Amino acid sequence: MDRDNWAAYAEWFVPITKTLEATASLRYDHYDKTSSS
Amino acid sequence: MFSTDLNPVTGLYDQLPDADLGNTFSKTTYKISARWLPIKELLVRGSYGTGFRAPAMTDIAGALVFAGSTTGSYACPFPGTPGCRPGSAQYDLLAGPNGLSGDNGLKPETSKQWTRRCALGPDQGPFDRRRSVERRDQEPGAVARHCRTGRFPESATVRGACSSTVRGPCRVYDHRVRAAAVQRRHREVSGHRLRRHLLNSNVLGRFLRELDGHPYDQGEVLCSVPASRSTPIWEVRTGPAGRIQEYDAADPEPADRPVDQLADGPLQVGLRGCGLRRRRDHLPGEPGWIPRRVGRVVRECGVPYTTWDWQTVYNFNKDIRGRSASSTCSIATRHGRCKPAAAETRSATTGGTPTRSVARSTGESASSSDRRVARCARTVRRTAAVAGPDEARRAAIHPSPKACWIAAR
Repeated sequence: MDRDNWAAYAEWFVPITKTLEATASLRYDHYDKTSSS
Repeated sequence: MFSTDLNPVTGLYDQLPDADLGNTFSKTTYKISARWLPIKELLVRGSYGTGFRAPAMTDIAGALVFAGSTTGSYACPFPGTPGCRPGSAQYDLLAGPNGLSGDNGLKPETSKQWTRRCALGPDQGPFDRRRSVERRDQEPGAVARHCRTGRFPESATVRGACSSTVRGPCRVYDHRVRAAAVQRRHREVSGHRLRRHLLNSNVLGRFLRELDGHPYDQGEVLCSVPASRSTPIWEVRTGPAGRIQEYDAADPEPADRPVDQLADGPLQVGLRGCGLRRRRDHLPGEPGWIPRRVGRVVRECGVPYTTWDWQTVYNFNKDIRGRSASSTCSIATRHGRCKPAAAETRSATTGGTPTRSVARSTGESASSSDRRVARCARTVRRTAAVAGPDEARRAAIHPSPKACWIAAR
């Protein structure tokens, strides 16, 4: 059986102050059709 | 997979067509995290995120079970149903563990995660050391301010910046001279900071010219790191080349050295890069010490002047480009056997033009070679009487040394 999938990822680093920083990330996954061969 | 039945036409086992099981889906996940360092010893961090787990193949379809048997190869038991094509005999979507097979069969498991952490310790460190160093280095004028004040409250900052290959920590320097009489017979000019980018202005020559008008017959120029002993830069000292070895690690600090132990002669300049090595590791004569001759201090009672190898000085200044050249220089002079300059005698130098500076007496004609030769001859004789002919010959730094020497003889 075959299954194709791909994903995209992004991350943002946000220094807010000298003592505070934040990180936000996003990921998109896609699973394509599963086939039996 | 291949069929178990022979194709009556070809006599071969045909490959069975793919079974399209559908099951297409997309999922977007995210995560948010934060780090907070309210005080140096406390670190608070937390995050929130989502996730999913894609179903395994066995969650989508199960192995074909036909009449209680999972062995062998079977044709699709219900041709025409979604995901079941005639001849496809590998998986039974209808009879699999996922009752919603096909497009509705692939449903990921989703999750949400929370993390919270609070750490209390002696030093939780910066957020990110790389970012921290850059950030500190980019503080407007912070490093330069440290260099100007000579105080490096955070040595790690300086070391980190010094080790940077992009730029040194001290790009801007004040050029100021503070003169203070240390003793009656001594005079010291200190607080002189080099301006590294002034290549052609000859900061050393300008520095020494600050002493013009103040008679001396011995001198020492010392440039060293003002505050931190762990960030040595370079030093300038006077003394014959053969005597430079006297400055060893056992010596007291140069500032404590009695001036009368010094001797005139070529200036020895050592270049030392900015680094972590201690200053004591690079005293003259030790490995890492690179002496550079940049000029001479010529003594003549009452009429001190300096003679510079300007090209060498230029090269010296050029050498310290790109180096961390934050230094505080001081010069201590002493007039020993000679009395201070007479009122009618003073020194004059040649401005900022790259020529040798020449001492002149106002009572003399500045252009009179005879006067200069005569004065030079007196100097040579006086020096010869004290230190011998070799010293005298070495001291005969004069616009016309040959004539001077002939006159002296």
